Amino acid sequence: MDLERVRGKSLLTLPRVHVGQMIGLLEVLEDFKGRVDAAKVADDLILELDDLLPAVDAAELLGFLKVESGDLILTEEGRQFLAKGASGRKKFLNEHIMKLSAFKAIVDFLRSHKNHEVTREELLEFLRKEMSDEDAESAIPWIVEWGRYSLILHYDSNNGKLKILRTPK
Amino acid sequence: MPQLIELRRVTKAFGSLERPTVVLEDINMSVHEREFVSVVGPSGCGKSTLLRLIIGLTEPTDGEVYYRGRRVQGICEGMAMVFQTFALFPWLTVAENVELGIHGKQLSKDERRMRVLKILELMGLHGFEDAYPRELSGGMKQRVGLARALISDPEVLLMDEPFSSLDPLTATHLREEVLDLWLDPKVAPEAVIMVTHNVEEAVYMADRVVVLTSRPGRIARDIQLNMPRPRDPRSNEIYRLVDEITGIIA
Amino acid sequence: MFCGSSPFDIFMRDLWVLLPYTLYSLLRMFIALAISYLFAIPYGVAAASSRRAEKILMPILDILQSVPILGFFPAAILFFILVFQEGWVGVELAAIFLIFTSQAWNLAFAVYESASTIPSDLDEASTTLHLKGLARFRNLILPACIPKLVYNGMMSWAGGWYFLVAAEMITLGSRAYALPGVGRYLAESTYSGDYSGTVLGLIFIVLTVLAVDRFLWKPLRTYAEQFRYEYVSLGEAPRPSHLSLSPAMRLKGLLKAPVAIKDVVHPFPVRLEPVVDRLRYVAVKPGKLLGRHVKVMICAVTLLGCGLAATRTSEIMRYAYSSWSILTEPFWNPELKSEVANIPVALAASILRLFSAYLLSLAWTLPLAVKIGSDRRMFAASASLMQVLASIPATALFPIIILATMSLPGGLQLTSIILTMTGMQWYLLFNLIGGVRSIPSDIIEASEAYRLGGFAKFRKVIIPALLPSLITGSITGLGGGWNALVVSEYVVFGGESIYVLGIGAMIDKAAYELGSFSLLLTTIIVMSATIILMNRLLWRRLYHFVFHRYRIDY
Repeated sequence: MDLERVRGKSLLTLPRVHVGQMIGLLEVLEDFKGRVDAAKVADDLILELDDLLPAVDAAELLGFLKVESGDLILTEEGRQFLAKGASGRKKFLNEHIMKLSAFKAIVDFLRSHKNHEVTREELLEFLRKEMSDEDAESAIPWIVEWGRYSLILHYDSNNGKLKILRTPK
Repeated sequence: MPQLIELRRVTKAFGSLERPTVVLEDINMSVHEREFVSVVGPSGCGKSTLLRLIIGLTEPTDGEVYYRGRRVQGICEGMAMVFQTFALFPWLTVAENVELGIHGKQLSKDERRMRVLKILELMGLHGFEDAYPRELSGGMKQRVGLARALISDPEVLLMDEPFSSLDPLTATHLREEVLDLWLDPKVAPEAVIMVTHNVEEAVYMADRVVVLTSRPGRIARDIQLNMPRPRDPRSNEIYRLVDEITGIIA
Repeated sequence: MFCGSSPFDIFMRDLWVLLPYTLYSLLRMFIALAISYLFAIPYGVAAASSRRAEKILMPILDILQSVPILGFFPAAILFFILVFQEGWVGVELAAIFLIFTSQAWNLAFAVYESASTIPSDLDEASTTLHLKGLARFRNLILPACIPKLVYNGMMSWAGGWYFLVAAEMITLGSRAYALPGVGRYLAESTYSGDYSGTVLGLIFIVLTVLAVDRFLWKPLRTYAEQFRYEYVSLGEAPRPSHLSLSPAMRLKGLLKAPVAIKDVVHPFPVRLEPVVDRLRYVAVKPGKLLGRHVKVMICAVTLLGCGLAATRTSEIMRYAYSSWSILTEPFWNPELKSEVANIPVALAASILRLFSAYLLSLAWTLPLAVKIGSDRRMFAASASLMQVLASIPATALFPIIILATMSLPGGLQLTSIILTMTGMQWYLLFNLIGGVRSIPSDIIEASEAYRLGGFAKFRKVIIPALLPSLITGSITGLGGGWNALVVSEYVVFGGESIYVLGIGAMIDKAAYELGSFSLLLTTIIVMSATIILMNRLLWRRLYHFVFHRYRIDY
């Protein structure tokens, strides 16, 4: 638990997995009645355990699952999340993704600019303060994807501008 | 249930007249309303060709394909297809790609926009309207493919190995989404025909599994699955069926 | 020469002439490019639309590509002047036509390639979406062609300068009309001794080329990028390493999977078969691209044409007869017959000249390419310099070269060889550099491990590895060389026309001195036929041989 809180503070903690992959993992957990050994999941899906980790990390970050002695456990929040339809999930994430300090920091950064808008380069500069160059570069597609999915951000790839779409009140 | 599609003695051969390669031979089958059909078989058994014959992308060398009683000639109105490699136009945004699904219809600009936004929301693509395919994950690209197919309200949805280019987690998730669509009376097409080499997937999703053998492709078995949904993908019944079908194919 | 004028006055006078001349040249280039695109797009799309169309249209393109463009030019001038009567219109149109022929075939080929390698899934999807006719063209075919249209357009643009400058220099001596343009300016400056003017002219050309690249081609290149495909690999479900996207995991995945060298290294030049392999797609099915109504239209027009022709058979017969007698004039007119008799010898002389130029070019480009290609720093340092040098159309340097070398022993014989070299060497150099750079380092390392020193290493390792790019560079270089022959074997110098024995000279002579259209046609046909024969019998075979034996493929 402490670990989680500490991890949540750093900009380094971003989901680094596709949204669909994380949801897929939660659905698999649900199939296994909410609790299953991580290795078994990997086996069942014909994956390496290592390859499962990013999805596990993301789900954990968002509070949808817990890890306990090698088992993956679906939380109540995770169950509720799954029960919602496509738009329900987006709404949910829109309300909760700012709990991740990474997204909070990015949204604050955007708010401090005119029109709540920055260029890709400006975002990169911002990220470089907290992480290595490569990590910053690779973080951007994840930020864009999760930002778009949760309807927090809008990204125009033609001119490389990122801006706030809709934040919860 | 009324018959939508019928194949009578359909044979398809490629190559020269002297040495033809017969891909499908004497296929007789029909698809009815409210049927989710999976077509499985080893690679090269012509299952993808079967799909293309049904939609009208290609013509049978012998035999006929009927849709609602009429001979299929050219692309059928009322059928739409989803591809293994997504087939999205790289220079169009998600919204523009999806809009191609109704490009021929007489609609006002507002109506068009409404329909695009509606289907995007349904497919969980809200927020990605202005994204380009290269910015999307495989799962999302296939969602766009599905959106583009479903926006025209097709009666029959054809899917050619729709999940085969996706990683296991994404594929799992997207399968559930497709099943949700199938079970939603407001959106679902009348019939779905899915081609796959993944037998588990076929059994898990479909009401009926058509098993093809290869060289030449013939129907070996046509199995009605009387399993209610939601199904447990790891149930014994499913495992048993998978074993049985894998046995036929091998 | 201009007594009493200060260098500054001369400079200003030069500038006053050079500015509008440059604009005229640019205008011709743009008009020609536009017409080339207008030709290439329908032609390429039509050729890609059905097997039958392909069988007819592509060989025609092949032949057209092999005809030496500058061989066309005298014929074009005569033709256009005949049609339009007005001297200046005829020559201007001929110049634009010349540039057009240097660009259009290449662009048509690019369109054909793009239109026929549309991934089949996109093509099928378009069909299932009911995209037909114009909608299909607009949504699928045209966008698919844009990358090649831009890149080949760039190359054609560069090539066009070469021919434009040549055209402007040629018409300088013309009785009809001298094209105002940079080419003429350069020739006039150099021959009148105004060397500062020559330098100024060259600077202007370089600046113009660089400016157009920066303000036209660069934005177009950026625009064209969005039209490239991302190919999804078919086959079994992707291995788990696709899930993990952090750099560390990606590296792990790479280390796990066996890497095929051929996926990593693409020996320059691009080979079509492996590219197609990589795509693993079937080309667009015939008959689908052109809508049925277009096909009907084409049939209707053809029938109409035949119908019209049928009503005027007697006129057509008479016309055919007179055309025939005009065309065969060289064979019955005693004046021209002697010329015709010289053709075989002239051809032989030209071939000798061509190959001398080729060998001389190779002699300096090969070592230089090896030097530059194998040394990363040297390549980086020289890249921009080479780009600038290559952007000067070789023909712009002709007056200087002629002036410098005509007075040497050998006279025009030597000069023509050097001039021909200028049309070949860049193709050779760039292809060879590319070839050297793409020799996989493990081959080099292996040769070092086996202690193959200097010459042996060169002979056994580098040359075989370079053969594909050598062949490509040679084929394109020799193509450029044939064109150069037409302007190098016949030169107007010091007020008189000098020429050597050669087929290029014969073409020029037929056009400018004898004014015989039929002789001109005969010599052009002979030259083109030779080129086509050489291509098919010699180069194609070599190409295939080299590609099957010397490809770096595991």
